Amino acid sequence: MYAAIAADRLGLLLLGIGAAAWAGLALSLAARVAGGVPWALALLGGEDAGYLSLSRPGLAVGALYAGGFVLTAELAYRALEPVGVRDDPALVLRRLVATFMTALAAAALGALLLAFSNVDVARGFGLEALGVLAAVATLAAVAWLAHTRG
Amino acid sequence: MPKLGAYAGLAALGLLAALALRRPELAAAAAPFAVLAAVGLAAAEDPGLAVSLELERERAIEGDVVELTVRLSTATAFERVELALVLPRGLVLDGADAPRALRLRRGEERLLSFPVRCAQWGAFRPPLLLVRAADRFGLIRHEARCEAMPLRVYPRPEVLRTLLVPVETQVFAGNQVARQKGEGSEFADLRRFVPGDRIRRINWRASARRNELWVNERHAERNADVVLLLDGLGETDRQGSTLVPLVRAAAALAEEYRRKKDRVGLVSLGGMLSWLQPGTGVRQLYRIVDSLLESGIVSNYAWSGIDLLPVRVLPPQALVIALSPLLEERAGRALLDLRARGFDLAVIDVSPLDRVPAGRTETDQIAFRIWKLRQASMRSRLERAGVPVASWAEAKPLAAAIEEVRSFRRYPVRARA
Repeated sequence: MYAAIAADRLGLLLLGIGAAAWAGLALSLAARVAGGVPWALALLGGEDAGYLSLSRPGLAVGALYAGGFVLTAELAYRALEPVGVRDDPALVLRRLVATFMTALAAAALGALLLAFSNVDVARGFGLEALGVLAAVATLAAVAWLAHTRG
Repeated sequence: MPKLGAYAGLAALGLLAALALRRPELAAAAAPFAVLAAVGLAAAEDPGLAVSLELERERAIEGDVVELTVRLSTATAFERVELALVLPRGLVLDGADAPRALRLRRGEERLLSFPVRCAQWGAFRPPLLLVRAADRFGLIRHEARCEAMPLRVYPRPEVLRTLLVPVETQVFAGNQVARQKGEGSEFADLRRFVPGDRIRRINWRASARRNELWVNERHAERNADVVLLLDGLGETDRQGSTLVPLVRAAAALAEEYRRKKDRVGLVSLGGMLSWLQPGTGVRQLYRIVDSLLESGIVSNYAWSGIDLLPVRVLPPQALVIALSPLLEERAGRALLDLRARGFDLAVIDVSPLDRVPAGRTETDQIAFRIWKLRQASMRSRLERAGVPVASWAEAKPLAAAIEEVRSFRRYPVRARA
């Protein structure tokens, strides 16, 4: 919603994407379909991507987005846990704190990355290729870990 | 692992979008997902999760509360371990809410107890425990399941102060007063003293009156053979099931006759003809009750009459107590056949007719009336043959039905063809 209002242009389009994302998320949670959550989150990411590329907000907003995105995902998956299973009282608080700490860490990581991205270094094909390589390597590492440990 | 896949996918999508759109903010939003997935996977190790489920005992009485113990141990730490207890119908948790989630530390062992109430009698399949353990980030899950031992819940027996006294007794010592004279405590008659009689059997008052020695004669105390005949032919497994009261009454009678040292046997008429030879003792009682617990409905059109029963199952001079809803013509014929063979027979009618609605349509109501008339006709035929028939429903005590049969037997009825 914020993205749609704060965007300089194409506000309606962003609003549509955001509304579709939230509706998808609400439907997935209501129907308890875990498979629908990533798609809704991807749509939400699409809205954010649109906003970020159109409006170029500051470091704080970017970090907030990173943290909020992780918080949304964590809470969505928590909402999909079996309804009848009651948590021990000590566990409820612990998990709540852990969820917010994860979101805070995500925001901090996002801020750190954005801060690094603002550092003025010589640009060029080599640096860009290094960035692509880093992204691919990260994904490959996740895929490898999932294959070996999963 | 739906969460792990989703996080990896979101990270990939975000990083690709960041490259395509040349926006570092997207990489900043996607990077935490990649880091979470990587950290979660890197920390994953063999869980060493061990689960066991134990029941306090294998046998219980209906209404008892049995302790169900869950033992959990793990080699690694689990942030959240979900437990789901699947109990068979007839067993319910007594006051506790079993499905719960807890945290397990590395190397920790936890014992959880759940009281389970046996709401119904029956032979139950083992309770099942499903365990799902998730790591700190909920990315990797481990699942386990285990079963406890099966549980046999015996029906709560009815309290019976009096039982049907068999007309004939057997040769072994027991608690039934036999018609024959012998060693016992019940007075039978007086007779003149003959050499060899014990001094303590002399009736001094009668002897003083007659100026010669007279002695007391007593009835022998013997055991009896009791055969419980269960008629499951009218069972429908719908409203007005007769199986439950049949089994409850049979268990109560078996227990009480066993207590009186009588030999108790069981014949089950149903889709399948089954039987247990008469026997004594606790072991025989368990055999009977176990057989009753396994009573069920078997559809079978092949009629196996009592002609097929081995002679030892229906011993001569046995008291046969038939527990029947008197709904099936075949069962009625079998009972009349037993009577014709000279068995001491009593019938306890567990008819569900008073609990079954007559139906809504006129046809249903006519059918219901015909059904009732047929039952009354069968009952009348049995009574004319000299067989006492008493009605019993679970709502009233079984002792009342027993008393009804006793009062019928107290006054001889001439059997009519």
